[in-house]
Amino acid sequence: MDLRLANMWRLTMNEKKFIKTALTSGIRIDGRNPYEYRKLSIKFGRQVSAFSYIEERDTHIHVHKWVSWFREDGSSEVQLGQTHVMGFVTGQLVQPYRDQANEGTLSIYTEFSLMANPSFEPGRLGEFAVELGRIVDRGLRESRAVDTESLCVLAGKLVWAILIDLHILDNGGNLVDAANIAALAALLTYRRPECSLGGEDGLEV
Amino acid sequence: MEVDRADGRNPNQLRPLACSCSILHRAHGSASWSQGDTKVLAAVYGPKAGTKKNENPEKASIEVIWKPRTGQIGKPEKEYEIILKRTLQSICILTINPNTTTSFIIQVVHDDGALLPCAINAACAALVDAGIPMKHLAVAICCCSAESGYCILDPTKLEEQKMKAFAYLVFPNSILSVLPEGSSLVQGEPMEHGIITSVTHGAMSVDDYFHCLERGRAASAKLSDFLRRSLQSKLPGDLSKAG
Repeated sequence: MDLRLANMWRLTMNEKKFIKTALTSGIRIDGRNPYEYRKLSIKFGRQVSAFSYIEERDTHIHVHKWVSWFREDGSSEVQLGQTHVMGFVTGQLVQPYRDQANEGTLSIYTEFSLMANPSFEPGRLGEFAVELGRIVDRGLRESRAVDTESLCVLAGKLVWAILIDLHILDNGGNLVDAANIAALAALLTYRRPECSLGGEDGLEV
Repeated sequence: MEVDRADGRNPNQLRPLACSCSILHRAHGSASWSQGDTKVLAAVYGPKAGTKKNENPEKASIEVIWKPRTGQIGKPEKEYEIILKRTLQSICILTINPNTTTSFIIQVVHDDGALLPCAINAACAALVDAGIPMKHLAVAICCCSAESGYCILDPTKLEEQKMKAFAYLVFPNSILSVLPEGSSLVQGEPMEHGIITSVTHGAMSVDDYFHCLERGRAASAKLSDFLRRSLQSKLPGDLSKAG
């Protein structure tokens, strides 16, 4: 496994010097201005296609048509230049923390996988991945982007725990921005399942 | 026997296939394969120097990382990794680059039935995209058999759960060659009649299993065509001028 370190991509001295001197004269290596963003594209949800069967009575023509629509299921795909991040949101009913008995929880799981960066070792969470997770987490939590009180179903017994999974597919730089956008976009398309309470205990629907 | 499938397909019909290559920039090869709603993204890195401790250093080794859509990696994912690794080991030429590791990363984007076959197809397409030498390609298909003995191909998740048993079958792809017929025969039978991998879940009788095999093999010809067409469109210009 240690031999893998031989494959880490390193910048040469010449390249480092070139980038630095270019920056001091306000030129970036891909021709952008210092404050210019790369092209951002966000795809929400998932394109779903289904075979629908339409029958015309008069002419007895059976038409099979592919109908496609947008299913909102809490997933998003963000591309910022060459950086590619996917976010998935799922919810589960759990018992709340004792000191926050009527608030739901939000947690972020991000794994900086081998797909994005060939030097990463699987199974071990690198420092950067943990930091990235914490940045996205603090951003969403402290700005109160998610109203945790509305995630409560039964105070003290059942609350929704929202888990956001961020999959880094391609590391083309600026993962912090791309991950934040992906997390927010996935949250926007997520619809919490309906549940109703019945009887003495809570019954979920 | 006529069967009503939820989405109106007949028992031998596959869902619409879509394949796109070279979608990731850092990976050496990448491909996304979708069958209906099931979508899988595969990335290949390799070959890299060194092998793990318990691998044979005289051959290239293959490492597979399966990443589920949500949640942590558990036992089912490990099983998929092992199956995929064995399948890929039999199609890659392992003696070309000894003491190297080729890594495959499979990311599940959405699972709606026939997940493992979709992943195997995606991994093959990513291998071609990376330019790693192989003996032949593999096409994978899922067949289910129900109580009354009929079998259907390419089930959705609901169909998979309702069926008594299902099998994932991986066949070598059909050969399109300019050589005369006799050269690709293995022990007197054309190579397409072989089978690379078979994973079964549930109980099915021997006759049902062979029935599924036949249906699967017939459908694998269609899959091979689709794979060939989608990969050929990625090739540069006119190959006859090359070299």
